[in-house]
Amino acid sequence: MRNTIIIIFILGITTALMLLSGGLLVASIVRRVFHDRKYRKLDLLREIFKGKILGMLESGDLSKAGQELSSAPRSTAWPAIEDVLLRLRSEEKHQMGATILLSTLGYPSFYKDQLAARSVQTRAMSIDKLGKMRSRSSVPKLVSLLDEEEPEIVSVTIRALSKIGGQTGLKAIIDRLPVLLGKGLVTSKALETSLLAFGANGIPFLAEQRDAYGDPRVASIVLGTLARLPADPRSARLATDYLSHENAEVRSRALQALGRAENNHECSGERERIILLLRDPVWYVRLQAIRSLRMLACEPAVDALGKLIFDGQWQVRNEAARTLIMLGDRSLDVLLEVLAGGDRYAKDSVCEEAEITEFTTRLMENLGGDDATLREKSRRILEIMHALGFSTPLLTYAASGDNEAVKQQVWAIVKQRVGA
Amino acid sequence: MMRLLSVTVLWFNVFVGVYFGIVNTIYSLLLALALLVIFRHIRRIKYSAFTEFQASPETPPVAILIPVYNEEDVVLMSIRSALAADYPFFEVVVINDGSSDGTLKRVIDEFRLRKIDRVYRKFLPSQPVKRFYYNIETPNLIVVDKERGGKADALNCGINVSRSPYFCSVDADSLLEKNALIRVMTPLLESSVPVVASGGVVRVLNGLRVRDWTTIQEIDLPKNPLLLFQIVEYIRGFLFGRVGWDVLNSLLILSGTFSLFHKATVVETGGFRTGNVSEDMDMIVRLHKHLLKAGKPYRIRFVSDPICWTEVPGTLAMLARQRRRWHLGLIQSIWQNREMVLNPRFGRIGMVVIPYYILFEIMGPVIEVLGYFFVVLSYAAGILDMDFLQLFFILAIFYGVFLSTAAIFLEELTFRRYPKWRHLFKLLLYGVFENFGYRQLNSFWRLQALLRYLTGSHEWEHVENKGKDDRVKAQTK
Repeated sequence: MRNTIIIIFILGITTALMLLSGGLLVASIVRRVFHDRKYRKLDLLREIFKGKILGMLESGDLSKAGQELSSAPRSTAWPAIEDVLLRLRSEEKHQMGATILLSTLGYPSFYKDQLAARSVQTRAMSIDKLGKMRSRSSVPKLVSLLDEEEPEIVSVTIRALSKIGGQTGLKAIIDRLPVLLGKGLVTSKALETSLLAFGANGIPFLAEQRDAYGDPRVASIVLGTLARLPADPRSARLATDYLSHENAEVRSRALQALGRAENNHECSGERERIILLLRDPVWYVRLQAIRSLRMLACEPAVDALGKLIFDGQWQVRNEAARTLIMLGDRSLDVLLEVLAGGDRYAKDSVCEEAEITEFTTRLMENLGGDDATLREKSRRILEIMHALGFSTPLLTYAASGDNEAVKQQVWAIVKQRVGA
Repeated sequence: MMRLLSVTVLWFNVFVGVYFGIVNTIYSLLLALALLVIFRHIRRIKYSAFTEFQASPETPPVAILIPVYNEEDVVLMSIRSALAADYPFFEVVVINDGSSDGTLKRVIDEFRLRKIDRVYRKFLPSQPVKRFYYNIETPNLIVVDKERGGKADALNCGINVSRSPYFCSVDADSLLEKNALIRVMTPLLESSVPVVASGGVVRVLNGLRVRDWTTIQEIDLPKNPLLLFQIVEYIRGFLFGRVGWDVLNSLLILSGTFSLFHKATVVETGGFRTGNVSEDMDMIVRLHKHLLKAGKPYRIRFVSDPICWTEVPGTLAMLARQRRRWHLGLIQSIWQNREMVLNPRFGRIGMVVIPYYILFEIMGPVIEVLGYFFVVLSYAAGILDMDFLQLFFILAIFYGVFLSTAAIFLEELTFRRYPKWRHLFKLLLYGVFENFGYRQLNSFWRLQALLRYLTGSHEWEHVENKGKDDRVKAQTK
């Protein structure tokens, strides 16, 4: 009796497994057949509709669109037309026409209705579509979705609003930033990426909303965004206001927004303040101050940068070395001072950067120049580099350089004992 | 005496039955979870933010670390595909781990690299570095030539050299799909809880046609049955095993072939451990241990859409070596972190996940091999009748077939990387065939690894020229 039960049990499981395997096999085959047909049809329809739609857009006659392009949302024609229109919308020439057609054919209305669906994925997909269609009429609905507690909905909505652009969406996002960040509904990286999508049009608004930036997290996100958008005097002014902020992240982002080559003129009065930040107690503020000064090609900072080569934080030391090297001949005195000093780490950093950026080539060229002082300083630096073991560029030049006079001088350097 | 023996054998059979019942229930649960998650994931991909991140200057830089040891035939493919990654800012660090063939020369010649003097700062211990190579025309590529120290040592060296806050380890015989890096990074950018590691899917490269060393031109299936078995196995392992564990936030394994890590956290844990033959698993276990001890919130993620193609062994001897090494690595990783076992301080990892690995992954081959032996013995001794014996094997085989079919179904649902009808049927067929010998061989190799570990043999078994026979397509096309 017991054996019979066991056998029936095993047979039952085996049969179930066979049926399940068979079911999955059939499902795989059916799905493949269905998809093959669907996508073949979709490709074909895209081609057909592309021709029709282009014809309408180029003739400027959109009156027949409702008749010729009408389709049901569940039909294959619906996504085919949508794909064609979205692609055409990205071309400047057809932007307006494609937007009108999308609206005429009821795409935004359909996706707006879908926002009431129960499934999070369906709603998120609809939000995304509205964003891609740049549907301005859906902005109020999208703004209301920012107050939801579902992170997936909130982050897709922010992205959609950023694609649509405009002040209403931007203001709605900025106003809600403290809550969204506080509840962890969206990450700062995702936010910054979306804010950047508002483009240069967002600058005036972002630069003038300083009252909304009481929360340091918000201020740093906005400043970080402005730092990536095209340089603008309004952004520079806002950044200047935050240079002395009590929050280090905000100070660092303000420096980032200010440190743009284009701001060279705008922040000429702020250089002293930036140079002062080279002594900031927080290392990443010092790091950012170096970068900003480099971008502003700030010569008066050379001495201060020289001191940072001995900073306690390696990132700061490396950045200072890189910046001094990039400042070129103007920083030779400071470089010499560092190389003649006793800090091996600092010396290594300078030599490494000189090699990576091929500054050594420039130094070797200086050996053949007319300026005797420059020649002597360059020779001295190369000698020290050789002594520290950074000899590869010298050896390469000595073997295969093209200027005989320089080659002889390089030979003279490499003949010196390494480590001397 | 005979009666006692029969009772023992009978009860052992019952134990084997119950054991496999539990294992299969767990697998079925993981499969059900994976199905649910993958269905959702497919819909989510349509509105994923990865294209925005791909173009965003806010996306953090990543260092792609490629440790290389005697890989002159394929090294250019992995470097070229890494350099072709569609990612805003990244550096590629190739670490030549004392190759004795022409690997280094090949890389130097191909990228016209020159020696450069760079400072090597040891945040993590590693064997001495001999030289650095660089070319300002490819500024995001640096090649480090170092003394041989093994993969873990090479990765530590790469971490020391890299300057990015994240690094992605990629094997030298692997090809990254262009958007794999941004896709594996996306969970880190979207999660409000810090993600310290994230892994993608690894697929079998053998048999594929590769263009310009960077792009897959045509996907085809190899002729070698051993490779076909592995294709089915990789699909199953990555699409439902890891997806299932990821949902439970309990991943213990990410493939070292393609995984992304937060550098500072890895440095905090002391880097990759050179004494372990499976440095990838050991790192994940230690990340869990370190972060749980520190009480820091974190996540380790697996993402099912970034793909890295890698060569797999084409001969039984090499496959045996690889499988023994994997199992030995699993045992070592758990033994070296044994303080986590059933320790409530380590939450579900210590109380559930590691015990699962001990009971069902480490001990699995022992029970399986003994199970086959005892069931046959029971039949010979007249304890089990023929019907029962046949049913036992039919059940075991059909369950295997079911899992393989389900995995191929998942593949159909997700990527359909094997597009032709003959691919589908061939994979399904090999999903059936693998239950007749291949699976048992795997269990045998894993048992061998356990026995070797118990007898004190812990050496790294190097797998040479993994896909030698199938490389021609990758090189010439």
